[in-house]
Amino acid sequence: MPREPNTSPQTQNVLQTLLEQPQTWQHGYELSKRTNLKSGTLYPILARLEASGFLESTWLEPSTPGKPPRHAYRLTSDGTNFALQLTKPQQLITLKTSQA
Amino acid sequence: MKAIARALLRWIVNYYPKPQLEIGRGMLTELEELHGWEALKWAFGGFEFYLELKGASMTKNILSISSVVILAILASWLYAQHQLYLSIGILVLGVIVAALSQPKSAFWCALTLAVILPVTHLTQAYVFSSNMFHELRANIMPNSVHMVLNSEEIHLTPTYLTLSSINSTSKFQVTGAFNSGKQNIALEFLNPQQLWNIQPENLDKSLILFENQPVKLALFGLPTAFLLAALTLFLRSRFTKSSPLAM
Repeated sequence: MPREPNTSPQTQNVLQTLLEQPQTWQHGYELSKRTNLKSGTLYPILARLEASGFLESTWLEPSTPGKPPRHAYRLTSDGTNFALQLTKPQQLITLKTSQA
Repeated sequence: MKAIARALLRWIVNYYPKPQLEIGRGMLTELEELHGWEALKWAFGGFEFYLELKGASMTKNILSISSVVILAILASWLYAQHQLYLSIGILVLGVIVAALSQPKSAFWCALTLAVILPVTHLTQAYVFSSNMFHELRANIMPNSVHMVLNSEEIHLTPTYLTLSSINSTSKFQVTGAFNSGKQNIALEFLNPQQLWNIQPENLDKSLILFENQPVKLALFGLPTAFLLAALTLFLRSRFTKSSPLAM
């Protein structure tokens, strides 16, 4: 049974990063660099999000010939909504702080 | 480094459950973007992911292994006190409790035991031998020791003798105090007869146990460790739906 995605700071970090470009396929290594998460932390989060239907994945053909296809991820519509729900309160707090 | 990382990651990804196999392969292809230590760290992430998939986080695993280490120390101490059955009993009980309360990490506990036990037995062999020595001293303490030291024939009355070390070739290094006034004298004897200068009929046959004791105990320790590992696996398969080997 897939685990419900938790709202740990690491998961929120991944969701926020994916939400910056919701339509773009993003590779694991890039995500690792952008979120500053180690592969051992990032991939379990990606697996949980995918199992929950918040993330979809595909194999992308390499830009350079001779290299293997790369696995890439992006948010589904459910995932986008979930990420927005999670990040909204933070955005509001940020907005209020900046207004003050 | 990258080749090692690739081999390690490829190996562990093979054990991923089917639903996560693709994501694991994705992790493997990303490795091509990394070099050196970064690649190795990425590969170790694959192991962390595997542990996560098996439901045993690193913290839980470390805690389980620490518990087993403490358990092994306790069992070793009991073993040193000649409480052999109590020592084994505690280890078996520990593995049963680990298997019932934390079945997924019990497998790792058993593997740890399989490594710790032979080492423990090898270490304890010396303590065991040392204890035996003290027992024998109490039984057959001679009134005087006749020996040749630095080409000088001397008679000594030992007030105490302490065994410092034993090695596999039956050489006994002894530190003791003697009535000659020499303190903390270190002597090396080739065999127990030379040490005590006693009549052969007084020699306790159990003295022979000094020889090859570590080897004997290691031979005892290894099967015990594997027996415990097998017991843990059995309990795990008995009390959980999936077998630990069906990774």
